[in-house]
Amino acid sequence: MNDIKLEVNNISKTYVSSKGESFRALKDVNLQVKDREFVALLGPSGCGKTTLLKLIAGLIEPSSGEILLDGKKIRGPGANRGMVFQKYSLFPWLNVWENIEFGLRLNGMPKEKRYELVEHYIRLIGLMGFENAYPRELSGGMQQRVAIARTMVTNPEILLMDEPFGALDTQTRSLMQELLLDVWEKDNKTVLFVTHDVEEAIFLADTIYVSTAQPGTIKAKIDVRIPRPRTFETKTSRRFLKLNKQLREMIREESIKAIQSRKRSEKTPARNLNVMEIFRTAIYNLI
Amino acid sequence: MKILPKNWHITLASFVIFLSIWSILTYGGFVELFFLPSPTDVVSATVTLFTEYDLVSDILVSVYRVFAGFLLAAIVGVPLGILIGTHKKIKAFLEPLIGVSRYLPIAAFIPLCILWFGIGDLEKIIFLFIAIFPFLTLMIADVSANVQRELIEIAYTLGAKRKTILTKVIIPASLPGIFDNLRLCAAIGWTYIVIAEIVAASSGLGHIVIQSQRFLQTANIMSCIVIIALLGLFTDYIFRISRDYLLPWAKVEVA
Repeated sequence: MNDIKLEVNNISKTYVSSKGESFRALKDVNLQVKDREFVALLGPSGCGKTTLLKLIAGLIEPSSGEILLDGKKIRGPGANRGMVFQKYSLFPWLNVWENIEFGLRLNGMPKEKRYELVEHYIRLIGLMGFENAYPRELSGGMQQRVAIARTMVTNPEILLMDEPFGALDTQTRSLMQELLLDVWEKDNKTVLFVTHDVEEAIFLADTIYVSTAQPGTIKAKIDVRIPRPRTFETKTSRRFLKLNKQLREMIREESIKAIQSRKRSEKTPARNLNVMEIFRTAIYNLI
Repeated sequence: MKILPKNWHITLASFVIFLSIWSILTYGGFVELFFLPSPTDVVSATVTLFTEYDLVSDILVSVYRVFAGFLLAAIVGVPLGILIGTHKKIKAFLEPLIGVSRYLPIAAFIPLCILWFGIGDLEKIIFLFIAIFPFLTLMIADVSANVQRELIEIAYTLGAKRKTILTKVIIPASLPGIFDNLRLCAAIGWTYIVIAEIVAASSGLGHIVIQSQRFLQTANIMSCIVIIALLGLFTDYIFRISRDYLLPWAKVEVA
């Protein structure tokens, strides 16, 4: 096939709580990300998107199925799969410069090379003059820019992004999307971007996988086919609006299902109460 | 920089109220001065203690003992706490044992310490160690076990290995918590020093307390209590200043 970077084959993940209750987060998930492709995984909250990213990152083990990167099965976490979390992931004791430098130091890169790269990325994310600032002194948007730079600077094979702009306000969010595309078009890394925001997925991605809720499975694969470079005007193009409507309907269905299944699981304690009731009547009868 | 804390006048009011009640009770003749000396009695007793009984050397002895006992507990407790917090097997091995020892009647160890280590400084230092160590270790274990998961996960995806996670993530992330708990444990040290020095001591603030009781000098006792409180407060202050200086990234926001 035409250079597939990442392959997720029949992945299932079931969590078992300490009480022995099992929760199925993912069921038979299949997806592929081509080399230098920007793929979005779109789904309602609670569809196991984060679980899938952590599986690919090697932070947790799947219950069944396998994940291949460049045709090789992944084992454990590694710097070839970079991850960006939603929030609170900068090292608070390191300043902007040191945060971005963190991965490079781990890999033992010589000082001059490090300096060059970190400086390049700080310019790329527009944080010149903030090199010595600690994370607590930065806004949410700035923090996420640092988090993205910190991961990209180590030059991973694939960038895994878990709703990186989810905690930002709408304005900052669209600016960050434009910035990410800008950086991505220069760097052309392979990206798997998880989001529950329909517009964000269309605006950024080449391919969108729509996922269902509880357990998470892949419901549809959509080719975006909107030319690049994309600007904020893209969001009013006809193709964009058409996809937006189509995807919104799909997501709506899934969100409703997710809420219903949550309601169902909330009812379980009530049933336990009934068991107690039966016990009580039985004891009263005995007396 | 602000020198006075916010709402300082409210804080001041609580001290004024406390002092007035004390003054009314004593100067008003509502209680025997023998049981509760007046503020002026305590002040003059303090002056006498400093001028005639060389209180400074007793203070220094107490400071030395608290510091040594605390330092010993920190040297053993901090690394051990981090190990317990980060290794499940070490935790299973040590945590219950240390957990139980927190509930032992600490004062009952004084006779044992005397039997084992005599009645010198060593006995007092070891006693303070026994009093501080279990609390400190478990608090540190808690801090290092609760380092934010995302930080560890992100370090792994940036190429960190198990070993580097400890030095590059868990330890730096735990530093503010370690500092705060050391501060609390220094306070424990100051409360236990009197117990250590009441029994079989020939110097130190606790020794003066028990001596004064024998001679019914209540003003002296009150004076020592206040001095110990001030020393504790001073220690606390040093800890807070140095935390802001050493860990500027984790400064506590003063809202």
